[in-house]
Amino acid sequence: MSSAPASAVPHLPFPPPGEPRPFFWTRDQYHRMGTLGFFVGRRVELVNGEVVEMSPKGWPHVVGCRKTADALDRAFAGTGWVSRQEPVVLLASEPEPDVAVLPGRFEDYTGHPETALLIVEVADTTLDYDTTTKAELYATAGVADYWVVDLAGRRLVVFRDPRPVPDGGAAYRRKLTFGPDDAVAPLAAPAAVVAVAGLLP
Amino acid sequence: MPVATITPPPKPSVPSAAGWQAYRWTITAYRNLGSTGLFDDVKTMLIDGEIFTMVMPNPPHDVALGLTDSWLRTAFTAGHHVRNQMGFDVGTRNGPEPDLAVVKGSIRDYATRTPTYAVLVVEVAESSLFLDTTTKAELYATAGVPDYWVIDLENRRLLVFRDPVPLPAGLGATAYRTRLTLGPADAVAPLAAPHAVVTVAGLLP
Repeated sequence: MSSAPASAVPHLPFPPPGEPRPFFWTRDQYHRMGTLGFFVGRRVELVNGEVVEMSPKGWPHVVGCRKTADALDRAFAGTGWVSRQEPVVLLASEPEPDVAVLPGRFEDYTGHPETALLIVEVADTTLDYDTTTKAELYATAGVADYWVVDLAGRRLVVFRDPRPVPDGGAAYRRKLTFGPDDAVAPLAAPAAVVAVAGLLP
Repeated sequence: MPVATITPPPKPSVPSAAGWQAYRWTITAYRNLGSTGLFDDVKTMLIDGEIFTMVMPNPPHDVALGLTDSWLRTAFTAGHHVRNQMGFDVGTRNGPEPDLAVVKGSIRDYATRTPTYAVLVVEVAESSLFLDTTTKAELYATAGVPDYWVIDLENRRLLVFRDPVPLPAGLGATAYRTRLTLGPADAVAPLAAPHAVVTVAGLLP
């Protein structure tokens, strides 16, 4: 399960509240500095007010992303469209999930999506981050179905049922783990059968 | 009473094994960000490539800063200049923005560059005591600043850090080996101006 959750504005229990804290980037500032060329050549996303640099893509990561995108394309044909490492606007953040399924038709969108039917992160070296910080973010944003493809462990971790927690923010109440012989149905496409083996290199 | 301690070892500033890291800025890029106006409403500093915001100045901080500034300008009259909340670089990724720094030479010597060494650095700690006595202490020690003072407003005392030495191999950092805690009635003088004795109370609001 995800660790202590955070609200959209970072809540830092330590050091004491008056201490210097990391500069909190708004989406507007992030875009403006991007436009001025500050992030040229770097792969970044905005998570909880922090500009995060994504790790270089290894080949297993590329394979996992492509296979997952193809599988979900088939599963959601007619109900949603699939994006790959493109911005999704969630609260004050702008992550670029490895794979996202967005409702409706791509043609009907005029800006970055702000809700997702399913978000998938493919974890090569980022398993900790994807199952904690990213899980908190997606739970707080109300994403009902969040999957992490654990490449090293050859399994699929499914987070569901986001609920508010006393501290502010939210956490996923259910965490399910599936192996290569299992199949999963996305919450928003319950008739589809997605074989875990089909997501793994 | 002088107490010799080593400041706590810092967190190693290497990318975590988690495969992601906070985007890190060089001092140059950070200053370029500042010139876009991004930091107009906040007071910031750069520590190990990460940007931090600090509480805006308030009366107790301003008074301690003003008193110490005035006194430093009487303590150092020739061969050094006093810098008040001006640039000070440590390596390529640290712009700790010290409250006060006493630097060799005249201010004109730094018309086109930023100093990387000072004979004395003073931080006024109003709400930043933790950072000032840990991360910043390590930073100034690494820069070889021989004399680092923290005016602890809340507890009305002066913390003096001296004798920077490299920590055991592998940590890649430096620490102050000597730490003094002085109360309002105690007297102190900068290592680089031993004749300029001041009572700690003279630096406090």
